[in-house]
Amino acid sequence: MQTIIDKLKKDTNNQDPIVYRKKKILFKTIYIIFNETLISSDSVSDFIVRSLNKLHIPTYRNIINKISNFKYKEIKTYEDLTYYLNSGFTIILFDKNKYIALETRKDLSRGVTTPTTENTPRGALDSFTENIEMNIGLIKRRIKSNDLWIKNYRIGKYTDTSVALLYINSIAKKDIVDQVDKLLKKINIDGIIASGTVRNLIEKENKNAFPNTISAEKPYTASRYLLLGNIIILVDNDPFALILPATLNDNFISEEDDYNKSINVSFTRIVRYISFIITLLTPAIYIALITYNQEIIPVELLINIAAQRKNVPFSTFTEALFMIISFEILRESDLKIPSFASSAISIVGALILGEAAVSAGIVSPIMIIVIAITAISSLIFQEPEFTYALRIYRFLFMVGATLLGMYGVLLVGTLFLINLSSYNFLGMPYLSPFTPPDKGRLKDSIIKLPTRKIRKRNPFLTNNIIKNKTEEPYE
Amino acid sequence: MNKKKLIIIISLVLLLTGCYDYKELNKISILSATEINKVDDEFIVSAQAINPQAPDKTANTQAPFIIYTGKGKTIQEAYRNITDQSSKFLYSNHLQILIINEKLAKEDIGQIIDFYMRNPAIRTEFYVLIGKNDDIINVITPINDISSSSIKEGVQNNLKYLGTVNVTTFNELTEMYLNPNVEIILPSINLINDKEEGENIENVENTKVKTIYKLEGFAIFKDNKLKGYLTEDQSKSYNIIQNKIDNTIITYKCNKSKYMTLEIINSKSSVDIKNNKINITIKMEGNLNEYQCDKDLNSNKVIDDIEKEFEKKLSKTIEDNINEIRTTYNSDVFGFLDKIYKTDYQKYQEIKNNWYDLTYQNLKLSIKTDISIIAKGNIMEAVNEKNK
Repeated sequence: MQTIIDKLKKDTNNQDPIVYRKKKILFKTIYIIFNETLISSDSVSDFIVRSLNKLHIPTYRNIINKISNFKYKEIKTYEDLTYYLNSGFTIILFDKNKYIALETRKDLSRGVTTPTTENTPRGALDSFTENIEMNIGLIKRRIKSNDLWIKNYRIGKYTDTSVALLYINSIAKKDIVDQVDKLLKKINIDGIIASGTVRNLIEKENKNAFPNTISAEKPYTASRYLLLGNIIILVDNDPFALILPATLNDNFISEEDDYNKSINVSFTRIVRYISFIITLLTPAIYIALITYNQEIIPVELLINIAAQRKNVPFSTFTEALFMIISFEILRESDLKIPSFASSAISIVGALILGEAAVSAGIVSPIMIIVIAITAISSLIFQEPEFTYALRIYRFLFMVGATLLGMYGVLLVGTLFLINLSSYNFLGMPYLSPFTPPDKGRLKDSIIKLPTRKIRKRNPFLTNNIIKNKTEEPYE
Repeated sequence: MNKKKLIIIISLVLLLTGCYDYKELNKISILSATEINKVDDEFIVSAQAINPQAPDKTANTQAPFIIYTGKGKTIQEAYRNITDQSSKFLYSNHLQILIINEKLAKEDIGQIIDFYMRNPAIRTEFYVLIGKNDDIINVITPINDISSSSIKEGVQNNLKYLGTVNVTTFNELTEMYLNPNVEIILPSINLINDKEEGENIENVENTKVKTIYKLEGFAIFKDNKLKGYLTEDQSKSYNIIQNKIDNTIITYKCNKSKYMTLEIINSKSSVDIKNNKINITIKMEGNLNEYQCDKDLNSNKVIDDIEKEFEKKLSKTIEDNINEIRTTYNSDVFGFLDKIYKTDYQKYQEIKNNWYDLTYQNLKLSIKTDISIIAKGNIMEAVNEKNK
């Protein structure tokens, strides 16, 4: 027993927070070991020490039976001992290879709060926290079935982070679960702190800029996708769940859609798709029209644009690039700056992207309109990575337009579509349900049919296709 | 062939066209109208280049457009000679109107059609008009100060509400030119008052504009040469027969000194030629907009009578106009021969050689009009009647 304590002391450089307490019960000596920073001393003294004091016959069984601590683990190896010690458990060394780990964790996480990134006018207001058990609980509250299966992993040489894989067994495809399972087991890295790292380690990162997972802050979103056959990865200490595999269409769906009538949802979806096209193509089409295909613009508008551009010495591409980069800088600084200083950003931003830039003769007013509509349309997507990917393609389209005009836009557009349609993750085509066409899921894509009519899941995600058997109640 | 080579070849094919058509908007000058004349065997081309001005600047001191003039033995040469005067590339894809001076039109308009058809850089959707005066495009027009757009909209409006001219794009002119069975007919345009004053921006500073263009009746051609002009009334008849208008007004006497006006809101006509007889059927619907006589308009019989009156007089007018056009110009602008060509090819073969000499003048006319008055306005009877 002493050897283990010596080894632990040596491994941990005998640091202060680890407390070794020797306790004698009759003839038996046991050690209580815990890490001060992680445990709540109340529970150690209340439950463990007090129960041990009442103990008369110090056998291993007796301790386990009498101790009033609810959660305990019997462990045998030194590795488990260190893991539990570092997870906030209190260890009772009873004998060689006979240890008991008792949960005395201090509550280091914050409570469930309202979401900050997924704002919807209506909908549940709880969000994930940094505590993985709490997160699983939040999902479990919504999906009570025994079919919600959870696989646990511990990843990271130093961090030893708990990672959980959640899926509904009778819905999710076994292939996909096995694949992700294998990928997660293959990870061999020094540490995992963010869920994004896990995602980057299991996806084909370089193939495409578009994200093939969705990060969900709300248990609502996670549960919604679980029911569709997607699987969820939760990482301890990270309040974002990973939903995989995701498609392009998933970025256009919002929680709010479940609350509205299908006809209103359809209109909103169309608006979202239009803004997708606007944010991707507007600067490129503007450049192409202004520098190559002037004949397409009605003459009155062309005269107006010509009048506005009369005093701008730069090429249209340079002008657009200048404005787009200014906007990106503005957005980036807006993310970094503390909220109390954000009014400074809006004042300066209005100068750069506004009348002052026009008066200075750097850009034309119409360019400001073009960039403004591009920027505002790019902000409607919840997933930040989607916006970043759009940024790259927007730039490619602009280069195509500058080199080849409308023909260049079409050329880049073709490459863009080829790229997207050849892109898949875990067997899920990125453009599903548009290509390959899937009648069942098309009902919930650009337009949404009445909820009663959406009866199927995506066959790429599940073999359990039928989702909704509600009979039509009205003639 | 390996994949890399293929990719390189494909990208070369796709990208080698790079930038060949690149032109910044700052570097081009938009041409919106052209006027072509011929003096002493040399073409004179005037081009209207728009001088873009910011819309918010209220005190414009510059002219809204600049007229460049060039001379040359060919139209292209004349165009190129303009380039000497301009600091920017002259961009003619937005050409809106082309005015052919009547002096040139009297010679031959074939050369002009050849030039514009051949030129790939010019869209052939511009309107063609015959200019009865020189330098019509030089005039600064009120409200829409760029005269080319003003004329273009003027032509459209006229066709929509009056029907004395008609929209003839260059493509339609080409069709008429290439079709051996049809003669060319083009709208004409004239200037009211002195053109020198119209070139000054002061022209639009008064409420009563001194110099302004006026759309006039059709210019009629024979063998691609200008022969003469139709009156407005004849032009309207032509448009009705050709089924080009929906909306116009017709005015006739209802008794010796008083008039009535019918606003036509729907007009359909068809031409049919059989046994040396031209049958024209015209079906019209209209609103009785003005009625100066004293008659009880509540009675159906009166309305029927008015309809009949209109029918009779309109038939008469159209018949007179067709006959007058035939005898004066001996030019088949109505496309009667084309109609025969399309419906009765054997007959066409027989008569085509002697069409003008024997047949055209001798074809009998039969015109049937069917006018129905569908509304007579807010009041039931003539105002005069109430005052009694």
